[in-house]
Amino acid sequence: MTEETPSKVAVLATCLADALRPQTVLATCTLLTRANPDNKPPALPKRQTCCGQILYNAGDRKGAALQALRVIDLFEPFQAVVVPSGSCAGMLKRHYPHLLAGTPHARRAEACAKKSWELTEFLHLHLPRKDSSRNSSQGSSHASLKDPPPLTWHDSCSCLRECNGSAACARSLLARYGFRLHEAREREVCCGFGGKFSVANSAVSTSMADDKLARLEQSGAKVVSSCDLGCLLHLAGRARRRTLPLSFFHIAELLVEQESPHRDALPQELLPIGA
Amino acid sequence: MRSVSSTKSFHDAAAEALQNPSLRAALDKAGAGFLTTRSRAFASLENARALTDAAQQARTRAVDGMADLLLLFEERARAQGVSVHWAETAEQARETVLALCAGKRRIVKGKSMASEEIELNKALSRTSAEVIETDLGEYIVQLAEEIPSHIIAPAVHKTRAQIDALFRHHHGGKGGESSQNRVRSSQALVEEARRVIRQKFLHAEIGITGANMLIAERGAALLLTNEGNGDLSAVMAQRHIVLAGIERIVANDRDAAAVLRVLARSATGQSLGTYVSLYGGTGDAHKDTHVVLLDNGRSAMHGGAWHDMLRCIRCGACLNHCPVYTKVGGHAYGWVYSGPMGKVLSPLLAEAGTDARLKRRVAALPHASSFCGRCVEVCPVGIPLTSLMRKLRNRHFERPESIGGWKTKLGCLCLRFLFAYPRLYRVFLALALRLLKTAARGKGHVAFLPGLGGWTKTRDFPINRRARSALALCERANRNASHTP
Repeated sequence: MTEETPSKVAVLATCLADALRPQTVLATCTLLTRANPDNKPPALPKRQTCCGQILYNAGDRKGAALQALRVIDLFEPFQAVVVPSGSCAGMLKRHYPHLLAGTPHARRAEACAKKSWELTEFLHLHLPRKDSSRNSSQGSSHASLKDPPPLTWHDSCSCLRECNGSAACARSLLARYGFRLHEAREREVCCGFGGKFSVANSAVSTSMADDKLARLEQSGAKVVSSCDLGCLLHLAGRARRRTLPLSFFHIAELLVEQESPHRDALPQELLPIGA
Repeated sequence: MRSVSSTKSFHDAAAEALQNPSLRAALDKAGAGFLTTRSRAFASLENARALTDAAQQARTRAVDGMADLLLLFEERARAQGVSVHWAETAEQARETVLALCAGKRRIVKGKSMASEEIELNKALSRTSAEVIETDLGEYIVQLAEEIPSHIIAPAVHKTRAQIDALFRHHHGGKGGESSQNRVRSSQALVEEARRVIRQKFLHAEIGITGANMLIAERGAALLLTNEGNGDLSAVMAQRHIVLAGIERIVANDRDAAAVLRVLARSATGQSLGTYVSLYGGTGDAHKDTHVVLLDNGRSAMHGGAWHDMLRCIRCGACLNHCPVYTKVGGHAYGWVYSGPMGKVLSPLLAEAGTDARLKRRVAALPHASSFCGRCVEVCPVGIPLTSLMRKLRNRHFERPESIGGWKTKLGCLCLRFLFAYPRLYRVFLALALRLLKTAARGKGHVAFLPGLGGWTKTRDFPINRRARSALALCERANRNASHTP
């Protein structure tokens, strides 16, 4: 490990996951607990709502700046903010400093950007490689009792372009957990989600989803995962409407699902998004 | 113009384009080619980054010093006997060119986006002159009475069969050596176009071209073409008129070379275009050269929030890599500039003009992006296209001009309010999640959601089966844990 694992870690659940996919947030907390040297669960500050991206992209720069300040305040006491979403992590890492540049809060925005992590980037560095608490039969790997399903991966645009490194981190984590990745073609092309774009430009957005789904299907895998819930909701919603035989999970859920001892973190059976 | 309706929004035009199978076929075929050739062109370089950095610096110098450089260009060009004309608006530019063409009947044109921008052909066609576009793509688009759908490949939206039919119709149907039913080869079509256009060159009285760059120190215009039609347009006629936007300026040969190194690579994947031509004074008493410098909203972009956009070298890389452009093609954007660069440029230029319908049509373009950021990644001169689109959205937010704009503003103000009161947000969320669960009737999704019709029209909306937010679930778990020590 190149860096000391921060002990005071907090999770920004993201409004989408908090509201529509609590499984993602619970799994994120489980993984971060494992990544903590004292097995301490991360904080999940109660007053959190949204990172402000929805306002920012709608053109409400002032509203976004206000919201950025709230998030910065809320997470001030923590050494690391971990976000189970590339686009929200990108918001904190790339856009907060931009939004608050030239204001008295510029330095705090920079500090917040520096301690913000997309989940897989953080896990890649801090999740212990060797699980000594369990006598795993497979050496240093996390590979569990279960045989993981063949998987294909959707690189979100934010992970690719705003959290550089995340694409490699996610792949390395999946490999550590024994997943076999069936890579799709043209992974750098957007799936068409884009927040409000998916609603306001429905036809184009849907057509982009169909192209993406075709490439994911061609990979041969039936399970699709990603770091970004927005893309997953959009793709799962489209696949369901077209009754395509694909199921969608956030990467945190899959990793936890592979960890049998921690299955109690997900009391119900883990259903794919939208199922 | 047939292909661009005067009122249709991007939203509607794009939806229509998606239903057009021949357009999809043409775009799919061309799209893949552009990407492969471009990535190959850059992959073969040892120092691609150094090249794009140098180009960006050259363009930054040009745009920052635009006013002085333009004056230097004017001085140097005039010293060689070139006439320089300034046009503040599209109308002035049209009038200048019309005056230079007065009494002439046969005009040939090389490709010029500036001339498309000011709708020069339309103005010339009202005179007694015949104008022929000589770039093959432009020629096709002209025959079809359309506008270019791509800044470097004007007819990229047309299939070979469509072009064949167009040629048969306009060339008197005698071009085919084989049966009328079979679509001719690209080569046969090119040869036929060449035969027709060559006659036009031979008798041209005036040649009009655009310019990729105006080199200030040299007082000359630089043009890059693949077909040689630029040179023929410039040389064959007695009078050559160069029409170029003022931001085409570059300081000197070195900076021009820096831009040239990335221009064709970014555009078509060639290391250089087939013809790189410089047009200055000719020293020939029977030949005159005119340069018309078009402002049309550009100087208003200078020095402010949109300054970076002036760096654009019109290579088209952002179009070719845009997942939205490659789905719907250029015409959906409602004007001559399309793709990501068009989403920024069109609204800004339209504002400077007097065409209210154009202004309305392109106003919403900055909203038609998923912000995937690929355009920023491939732009060889580092234009932050998505940031510029976001800034344009911000302007709409501050001053909404449409019902949609007011709706967005209202929505944002409601969200701001909820975000300011997290407890209220939680109450609201809990209620919404309950309602969603009820509406889903035991399923994990709903097929219709009021207010999100744009989503549910084509996609199911996944819901939260537990009807409790993650934070609520965690709080409950913590409470339970503290009760059972």
